[in-house]
Amino acid sequence: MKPKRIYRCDGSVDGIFTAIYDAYESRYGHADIVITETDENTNLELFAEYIDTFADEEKSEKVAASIKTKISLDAYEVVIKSALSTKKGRADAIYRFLQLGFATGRSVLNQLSHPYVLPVFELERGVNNEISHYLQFVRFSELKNTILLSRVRPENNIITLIAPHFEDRLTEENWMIYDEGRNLAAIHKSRYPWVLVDGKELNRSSLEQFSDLELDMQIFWQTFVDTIAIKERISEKLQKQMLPNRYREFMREMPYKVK
Amino acid sequence: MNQVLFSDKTNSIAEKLSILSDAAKYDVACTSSGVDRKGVAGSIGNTVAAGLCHCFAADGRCISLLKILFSNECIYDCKYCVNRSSRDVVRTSFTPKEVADLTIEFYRRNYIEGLFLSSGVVKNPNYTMEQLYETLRLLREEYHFNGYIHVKGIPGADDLLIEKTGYLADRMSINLELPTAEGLKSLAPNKNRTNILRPMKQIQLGKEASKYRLHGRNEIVVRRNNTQLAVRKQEKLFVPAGQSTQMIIGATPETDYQIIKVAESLYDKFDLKRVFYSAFINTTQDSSLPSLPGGPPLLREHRLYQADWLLRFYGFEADEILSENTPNFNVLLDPKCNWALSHLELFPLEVNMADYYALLRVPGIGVKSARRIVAARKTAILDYADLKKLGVVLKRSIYFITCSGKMMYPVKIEADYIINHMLEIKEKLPAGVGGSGVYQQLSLFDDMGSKNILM
Repeated sequence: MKPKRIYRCDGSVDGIFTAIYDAYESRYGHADIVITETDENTNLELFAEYIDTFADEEKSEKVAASIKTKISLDAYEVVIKSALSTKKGRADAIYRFLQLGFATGRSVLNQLSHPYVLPVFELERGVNNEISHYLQFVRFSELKNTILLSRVRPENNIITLIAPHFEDRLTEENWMIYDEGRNLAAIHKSRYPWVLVDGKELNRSSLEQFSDLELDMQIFWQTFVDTIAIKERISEKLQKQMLPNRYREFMREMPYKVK
Repeated sequence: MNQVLFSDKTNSIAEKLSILSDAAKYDVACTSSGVDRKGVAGSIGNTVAAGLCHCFAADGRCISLLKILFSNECIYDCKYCVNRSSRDVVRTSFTPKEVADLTIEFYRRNYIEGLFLSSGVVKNPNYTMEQLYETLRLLREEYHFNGYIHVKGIPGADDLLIEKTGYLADRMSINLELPTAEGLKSLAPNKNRTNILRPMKQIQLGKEASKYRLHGRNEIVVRRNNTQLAVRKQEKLFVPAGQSTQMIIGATPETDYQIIKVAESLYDKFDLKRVFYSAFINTTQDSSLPSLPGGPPLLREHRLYQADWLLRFYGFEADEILSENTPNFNVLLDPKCNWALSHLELFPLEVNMADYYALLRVPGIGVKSARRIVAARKTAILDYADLKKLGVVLKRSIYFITCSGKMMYPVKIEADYIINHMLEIKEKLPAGVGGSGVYQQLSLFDDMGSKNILM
């Protein structure tokens, strides 16, 4: 019996695509290959061969191009979104989905009940849900230098997916969305396209000085949120259901419990 | 923007904001949906068709727009209204610039999706409408605000003012206030139904006309279908997100049947986008108003919204949901279950064959899962495990469907049998309406037409 081969990758989009490229190239047989992310903290398996892969832009580009041409652009979007999730097993789910996708073409997206398709859709749905929540619950504060700063701590790696919305909306503003957990920032200069930068290059101290108007606005907003509630209908449970604690960390107007 | 604007009168702005948002909170139509508009260089804002909720207040209702009154002064004396002229409350008004500044500053911080501006009637309807128009003009033309604006039309204002405002707003609404003309007469003696319906009709016609408008105001030309290679820059559209209205539920003795009939005719005849229902809250303690010891009728409001959804997205007609003989909703079952139970002759339905509209009528299958079923069955024959994965609520639907000719369990297709099983499954009501028991505990002896469980 052939020993199982386990390809390990770093869990980024490039990392996952590279592992998939290597797995295909090895011609070892899909049934005997599993792809895992290294952040997946599981026990090592006996009787399995571990192969470490390293993100390679060229290989990743090739995989991306194949998905776009051999399956469809919609499928590419689904795959990218699932890859940006933090759920364990996403690399393998994408690998399986692509096997079926390369065999059947664009109609793969209709096979919702297929065991190779459903997991990817669930990953995508999770990411989409978080994106839509963050479009709503991101809060900007104005700094002394009139830059609008928003600090976030999303579960999935979504700031690249929410930045286009704010680029379209706040074209004339200079703004920045900073992912505290991943130390990444999406930065937008008025009328320029947004860019992704590493948080190490940021000057932290300037991020904490608010403009004069900012504090007034926070008070006004707090006043508004408090008075708009109808006291005969108050229901903390419903509020919590609609706006769970995990989104509240940087929303100053909401009560937030630190875990 | 002028930075010193708020500094010297911060307090007065905070005070005004607190008074005028407090006075606006009973308005329910806080949605930002219905229009998709990209951002434009040189302006601020875009809109998203699905709408976005930016926060949730302590009552669990969504905060999407900066919902305020321009003024809480009012010449009318409607008995249910917190701002009625005979009531002793602090009166204040914003200026158009204050509203515009607040909107822009909130919008930049992603607090809100746009503005919801309503007002008490100051001096006369025309004066009030002029103020609202001026606020919108300032926002759109001077601040280049491209986000969502919902404005209330003031009944009795001049047609021209309504029209001018309509070109600046995304949505316009005129409150129906109470479901029937008699109700309106008894509680809002200064208002009349015709005055409310007239501008509604005007908005509807204006919206239809703007679809065909190409050149000047007076010349109406049918826009050619997409045969031109280059489409000329679109002119400003008239109320692109359509109009909505709201009515108060439980202040007057209308039945649920009357209410959904009114809603249906508003959707059909006035082409409304939404009708909102607002559970009556007795704020004025007027002697002609009912006292509601159990709190506002939230379950009834919930059932009305369920029925409203059936009208708009599920292809139901009001007469199918309720009738003269059973004029009120069943407290124990949602309207769709109720309908299915009295039409058992149509079930069970074969999931792999039934058409989309038939699927929509099965309890436990919604718009999304019906669409997924139609897509998924192109490539596979679906069984119950698949349905579960597609999001169908099996515990409700198993009584009404078959997969490849088989039912999931041997079930009797008999109303009593199904009801018994349905009542065991707890209906998922929003917190505050039922389950949590804060306001209204579901009980067999409720006051809303529960005498016979099945209609």
